[in-house]
Amino acid sequence: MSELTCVEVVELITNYLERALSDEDLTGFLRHMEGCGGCEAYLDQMRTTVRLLSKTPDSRLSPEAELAVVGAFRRWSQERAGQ
Amino acid sequence: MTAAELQPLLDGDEEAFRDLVMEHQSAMIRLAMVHVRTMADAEEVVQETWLAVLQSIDGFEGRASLRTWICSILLNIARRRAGQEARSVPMSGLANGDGGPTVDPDRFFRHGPDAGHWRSLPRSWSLNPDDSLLAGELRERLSAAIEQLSPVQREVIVMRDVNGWSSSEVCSLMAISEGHQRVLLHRARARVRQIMEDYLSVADERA
Repeated sequence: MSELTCVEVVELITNYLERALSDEDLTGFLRHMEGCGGCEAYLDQMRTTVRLLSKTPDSRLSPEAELAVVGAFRRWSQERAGQ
Repeated sequence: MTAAELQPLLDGDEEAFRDLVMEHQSAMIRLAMVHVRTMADAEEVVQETWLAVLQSIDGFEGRASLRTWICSILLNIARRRAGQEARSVPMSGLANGDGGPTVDPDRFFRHGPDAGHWRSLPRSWSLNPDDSLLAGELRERLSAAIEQLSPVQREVIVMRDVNGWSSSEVCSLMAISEGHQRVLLHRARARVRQIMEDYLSVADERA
């Protein structure tokens, strides 16, 4: 099989990270990676991007919103109890 | 997880309900923010969702996980609010526009012996995790990058990469195949990477 180009490899990146490459594509991908600093850097950037996303700080409800939600629960609960 | 975990709610246990709200608040707000613009709107979506959850509590059979069930209700509400009624997920959620390459073709040689290989090499990012100024700007940039994606690309990248959910849960919430989900994820990540690369190369020059 012919060697993969960088143009092709960058389009295989997600399938590689998802372990969804065919055996043939995986072989070609890894062989290309061994000899290509550019694609290795690209893969690294992708991994870093995903890692940064995974470290997004948690979001929280404001106290007002939390109160409103709990209020809705109380009303719902009381209605149910009254049935 | 079965309907047993909802029993305390049926018994009127407010603490249990509060715990549930806290447990899911981050994921719910993040998902709401995929479709609405402001935190206030997102909180409204979350409130509406909890109301709908309570009202349909008898219908939860425990076939899906509680989280999946709650978030599918939330996504319906958020999508409807954003004007995306009764939508199927078009393969042209390959938006940002095309089915084309995810890296600017100018980055590669087009002709000659190096055709198809990097012309302008990606650099390794020297991200200093202790640089708190950078961290704040970085967070803003990431948020801004996500906003530039199409709604379905945003859904996938937030659920998979921000929330860390499995691809099967995401496929279930979006009613798409694994293959389709991977395509969306690929395009979303590539776009975010590119935006971050642009930002970081300018930041490098400033430093």
